Amino acid sequence: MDIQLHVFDENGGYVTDVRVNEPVSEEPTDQRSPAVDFDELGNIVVCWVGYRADGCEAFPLARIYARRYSFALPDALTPLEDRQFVVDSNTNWSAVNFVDANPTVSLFKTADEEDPRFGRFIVAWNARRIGQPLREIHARYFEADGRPRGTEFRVHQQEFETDENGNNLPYLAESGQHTVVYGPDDQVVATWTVTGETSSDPPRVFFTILPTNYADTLTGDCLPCIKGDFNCDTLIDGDDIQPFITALYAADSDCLSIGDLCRFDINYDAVLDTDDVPGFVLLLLGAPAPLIMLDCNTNGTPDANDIFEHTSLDCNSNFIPDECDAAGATSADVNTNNVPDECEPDCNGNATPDELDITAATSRDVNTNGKPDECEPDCNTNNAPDSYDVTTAASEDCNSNGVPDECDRDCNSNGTPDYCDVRDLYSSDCNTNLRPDECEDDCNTNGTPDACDLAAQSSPDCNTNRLPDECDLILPFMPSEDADSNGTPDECEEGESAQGGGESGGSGESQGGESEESDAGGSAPLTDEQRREALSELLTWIRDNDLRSLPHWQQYPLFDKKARELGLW
Amino acid sequence: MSSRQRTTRLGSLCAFTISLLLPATAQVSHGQYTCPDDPTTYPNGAIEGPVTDPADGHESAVGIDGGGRFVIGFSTPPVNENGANEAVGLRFLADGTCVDDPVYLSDDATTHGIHEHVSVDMNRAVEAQNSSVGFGWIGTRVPSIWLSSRFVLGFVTDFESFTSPHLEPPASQGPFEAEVTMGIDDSGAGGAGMEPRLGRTAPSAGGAVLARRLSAGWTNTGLRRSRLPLSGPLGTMHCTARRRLLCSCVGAAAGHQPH
Repeated sequence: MDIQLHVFDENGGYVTDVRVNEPVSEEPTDQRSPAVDFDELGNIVVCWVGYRADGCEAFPLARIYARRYSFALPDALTPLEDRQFVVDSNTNWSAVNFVDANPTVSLFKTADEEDPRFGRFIVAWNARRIGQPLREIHARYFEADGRPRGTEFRVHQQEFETDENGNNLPYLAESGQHTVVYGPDDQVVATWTVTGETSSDPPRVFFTILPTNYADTLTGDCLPCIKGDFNCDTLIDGDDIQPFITALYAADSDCLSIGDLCRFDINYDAVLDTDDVPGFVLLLLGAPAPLIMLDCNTNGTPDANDIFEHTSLDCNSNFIPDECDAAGATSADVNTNNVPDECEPDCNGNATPDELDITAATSRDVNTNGKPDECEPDCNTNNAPDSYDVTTAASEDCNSNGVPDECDRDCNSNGTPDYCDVRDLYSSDCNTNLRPDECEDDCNTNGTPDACDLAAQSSPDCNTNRLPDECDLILPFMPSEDADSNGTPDECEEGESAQGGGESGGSGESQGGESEESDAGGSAPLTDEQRREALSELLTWIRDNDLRSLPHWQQYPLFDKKARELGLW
Repeated sequence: MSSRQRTTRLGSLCAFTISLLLPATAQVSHGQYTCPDDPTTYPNGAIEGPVTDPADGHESAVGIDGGGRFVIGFSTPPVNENGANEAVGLRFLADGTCVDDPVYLSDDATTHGIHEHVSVDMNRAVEAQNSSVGFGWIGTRVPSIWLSSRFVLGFVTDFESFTSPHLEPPASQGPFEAEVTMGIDDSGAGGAGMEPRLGRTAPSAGGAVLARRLSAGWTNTGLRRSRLPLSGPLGTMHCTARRRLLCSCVGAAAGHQPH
């Protein structure tokens, strides 16, 4: 079973859909009970329950999965992760079972679209203690970028001793019913039912309000991410060795949650593998000072965490916050804007940020767009950007395409772009290809493009070589014959030569109409070897006759005739 | 035996069957639902309290508005010998204080429907200070021979007036609509639901998801069949609306049979 995400417009009309769960093996996966929420910024989160079928667990339990998407008008639906991620985090608990885990999701909800908390979400589900009848409603908070805010926790404050008969059992109703909602002050409201203490007692409904920043009070988590602290005791010591080895051998990166992967992925390559061992050893030995634990900006947060949590940028990916790069010896910052110069635009490749080039007047910027003029298109080579030419009316731009008219296509060389010639009716354009008719092939010099002659059937083309028949007769070589002078090539008339000209005026050795091999309507198809030889001969013939030097209207018909003669089609 | 007599006898049989299937709980009477006792505030700041105490309820859902006020809807146990029950909604302020009085979504005077799977949604409406509240649920007529006919019922009200048209499923054969999820868009002018349709109105060997818009009555839109090739019923689906209606549903992958 797959999970589908469907998007409908404000009137309920279908917009788009996508399969949410990614198959992770050849075996069919099994999912159900999806829930979805989205906000005004286009954040979408889908959660569901499923059995893990990716080989990460020997005896798969029902797990809660989620996947984030971004939606943009009109119909762009973009996944924010390569695949779904596991929501639940406590291995002593499992989703109740495949049928009634009833996961639900709710995004942070406010009318203030500028609120930075937009994108936060919470997932809640029915959980059971493995090996015991005890059941609880669990949830987990997530940041807008998908990082968990703490581990999973119990939603209800009261404790219930669920027995083996299912009495005293707290549970969320169906996934689709909106059982947990995220409020405008980061609070969450959940509603749930508890079965009676005995089978004869009725069920009762409760609500729980989790207050603002409740996620910050959750203990026992591994946040913030401290690389190398695999057992989450905030220390990097010998106790982390065994968890690291276990994870290295037992798990692959796809099986780790986002938070776990952050701790295990020492070298920031998004996978846990043996390449992480040297970094872990360095962290463990503490000498030399591990890069991870440096705090160059002295903000109390390790640099690695600054970068991971985006409190600092690392534009050059050297694991050093940009502000430290710029202030120290690791990067130049000639314009003292706290951005390493190597990350700044340098379109002319002179190793000086564009901004400084302009400030120091080593580059002009006549249109004051912050980009040196030498980096901008200058089709007329007048040393001014094309956009500047157009804006200042130094050049006309009749078709408003941002390109000076003198650079636009002008086949009739009248100084006006072809498009404008046609649009303003200075030129006719019978085949509406935005190319003036006077520039088109006109082999019969009747003032009408050949293509229009053929389209209007004012000229026949009995051999379908895209050339009016009367022009077949005047080709410079391999012309069609017209024994009865009726204007129709003989190859089109019954009982006469099937294909063109008896006089192949070209220098090719094969003469049209004379080759027995080529005059083979209905002859057996060429073998692959014969086709290769024929193709080689055709190319040689084109080169020897300098076909490209001929008027355009003659090129294709001659090519066509020769190809037919050689039996290529 | 006339058709009327046959229908009546079959209806009695169905009602009897339902009474056997339903848990042996005490029947409740109309008007029993009032604001519950005040909630408890815990040292960690969490607030928790009953919704249906002292009466009974189950299968609850919640919607929240831009001011943190919330509404909870739920189903009651059976209220008569036919197995019929009611659907109820209650209002709460952001601190968990209940606001009198509850609203009966169903017709508490006739109660000839099984009302289940109540879904609630509210819009943010901070500026208006009176958010919209949408309820959607599934109603099955009892007593009836059409036990397979399940109807989506729903309406939109607002937090201040909190009134209900008291809906009951019609006494006619209808579709089999397994679930519904309510959604309210930001304008508060309409809601939307979604449910699988099987049997008479669906492909013979497949399923469908159906989006509906609630604005002066239900309007069917967004029917999708082609991507959900099924040989069995759809499992569940969920649908919500803010500015756009969005749904997630489960189906079977092409080439695989549902488990």
